[in-house]
Amino acid sequence: MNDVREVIIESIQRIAEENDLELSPSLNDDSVLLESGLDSLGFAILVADLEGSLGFDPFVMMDEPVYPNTLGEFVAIYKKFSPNEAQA
Amino acid sequence: MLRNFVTGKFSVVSDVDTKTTANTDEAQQVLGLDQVSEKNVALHCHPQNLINWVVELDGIASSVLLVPFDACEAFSKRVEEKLELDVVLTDGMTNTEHWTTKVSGFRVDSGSQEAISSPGKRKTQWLLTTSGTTGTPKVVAHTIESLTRTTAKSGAGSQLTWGLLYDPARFAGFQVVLQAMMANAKLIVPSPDLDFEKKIDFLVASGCDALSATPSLWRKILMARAARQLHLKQVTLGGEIADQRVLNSLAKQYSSAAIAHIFASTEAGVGFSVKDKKAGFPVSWLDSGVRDVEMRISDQDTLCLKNTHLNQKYLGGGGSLASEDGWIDTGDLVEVDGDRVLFKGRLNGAINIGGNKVVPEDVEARILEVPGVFQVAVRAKSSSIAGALVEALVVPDPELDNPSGLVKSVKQHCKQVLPSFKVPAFVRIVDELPVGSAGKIKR
Repeated sequence: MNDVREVIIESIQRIAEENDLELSPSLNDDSVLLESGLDSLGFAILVADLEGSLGFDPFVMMDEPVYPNTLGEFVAIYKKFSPNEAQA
Repeated sequence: MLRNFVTGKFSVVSDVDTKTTANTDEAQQVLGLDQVSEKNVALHCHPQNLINWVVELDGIASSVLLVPFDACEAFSKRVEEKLELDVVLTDGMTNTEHWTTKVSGFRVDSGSQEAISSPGKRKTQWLLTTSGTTGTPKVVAHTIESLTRTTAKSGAGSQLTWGLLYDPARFAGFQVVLQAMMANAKLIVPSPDLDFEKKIDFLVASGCDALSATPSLWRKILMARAARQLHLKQVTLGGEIADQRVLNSLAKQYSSAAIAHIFASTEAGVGFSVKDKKAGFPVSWLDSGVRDVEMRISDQDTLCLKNTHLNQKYLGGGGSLASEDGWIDTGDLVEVDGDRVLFKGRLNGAINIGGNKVVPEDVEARILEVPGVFQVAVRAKSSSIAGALVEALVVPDPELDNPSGLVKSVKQHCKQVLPSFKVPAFVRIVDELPVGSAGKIKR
C-alpha cells in the first residue's frame, strides 16, 4: 500500500479537480484544512473517498471523534488508525 | 409583540457597522416605519439590520418575508409569483437587482410616528422559506407565538452571549435570533461573507459562549483553529440527526457546557429538546409527552406529534398542516432501541445534507436530462462528516460508446442546474439498478 500521506494528497487533488475547487498552491502539514480550498462538502467527500481507497474511516472508529485543524493533524489521525501502521 | 419583550439588554454585534443606510443608492427612496404600516414587505439586507428591523416591524407590517442574504434571481422570481409584495427593504449590502417589486431603503427614525402610535393591534405574519436558494422555495407563514412556543421567555439565558452562524432569514437562524431576543441576550453576528475561520475568530473575540448549529456545522466548528478558545456554556444542535459520536466530541471539548439537541420541523413548527447528551430521546416520552407536545409512532414507523397551539399554514397553495385530530406526521422514521427512540432518516427517502433537504426524485429527473443516461437512482451515502452525501447510480444507454465520460457530464449538468448541496458527490456507472422484491428501486 502507498504511504497514507500520499494517498490523502492524491485524493484531495482529485476531489478538488472533480468539484472545480481551487486548492491553495502549497499543501503542507501546516496547511489549515478549512483554508485549503476544500469546502466542508469537499472534506466530507474526501473522508468518504478515503474510506474507499484505504478501507477505513477513523471518524467512525473514534468514540469521541477529534476533528483536525491542519493537514498534518488529518494525516496523523489516518496513520494512527491505519491497520498497516499498527502492524509496522 | 417583539418590542415588548426586547429591552436595551438585547443587542446585535457584527464585524461591520451596518447601522447606516450609507450604501443605499442616493436616488433610492428611504421609507420610515409609518410608510410600511400594514404593508407586505420583504427584508433583503445584512443579517444585523435584518434582526434589528424585525423588532421594529413586528405589529406594524402586515407580513414580513425574510430573504436569505445570498438569494438569487430564481428565488426573487418564485416568491414574487407566490406573494403580493408591496416593497423590498434593503440596506444596500445585498444584491437586490433581481426584484421587480419596488426596492427601498429603510430608516426606523424617519417619517412620522403617527402610524405607529397604536402598535401591536396587528398580528404580523412572518414568512420563512424552505429549500435551497436556487430551488423552488416553499413559503411558510408563522406568527411570533408559533415560533417561540418552545422558547423560554423568562430571564433565563440572559447572561449568555449567542453566536449566529446561520442566516437569520432561515428557520434555524431565526430561532436563534428569537431565543436571544426573548432572553434579552447579546447576539454576535459575523458577516455572511467572512471566511469560516474568521467567523469563529470573531465569535471568540466577542465573548460568544452559546452556539447553535447542525451536527455537520459543529464538526466544521471543531475543525477551526479558534474552536478550542471558545468557552461555551450552551451548545445546541438541530436540523439534522445528532449521533452519539458528535455529542461525545462536544461534551469532551466543552466539558462545562449544557448540551441540547433539538428536534424541530419548519413545516410542523413543533419542537422539543433533549438535554441528557444522549442520541435520540427517552422512550418514556411516548407515554408522557414533553412540555406541551404529545408523541406517538405511526404504523409506518414515523414520529407523529400533537401540539395544542397550531396556527401555521402554507401560502400559495396547500392547506392546514395538521390532520383533523391535531396530529402531525413529521415524516421522520424512528426506531426504538432499548430505552431510547432513535431517528433513522426520512420516510420519503429525502436526504439531509447539512440541514438541507434533497429529494432523490428531483435529482434523478435532472440526471435523466443528460444524453446517454438510460436509468438513474439517487440515494444517500452515509458520511461521518456531513451526515449524508448524495450518490447517483447511473445505467448508461447500451448504445453509448464511452460510458466512462458520463460521470463527468452528469456532474457538470447537475452543477449547472442544481444548488451545490444537491449535486451528487459520487456518480457511479452500474450495469443495472438494485431492485427490491416488489420491483421498486432500492435506495
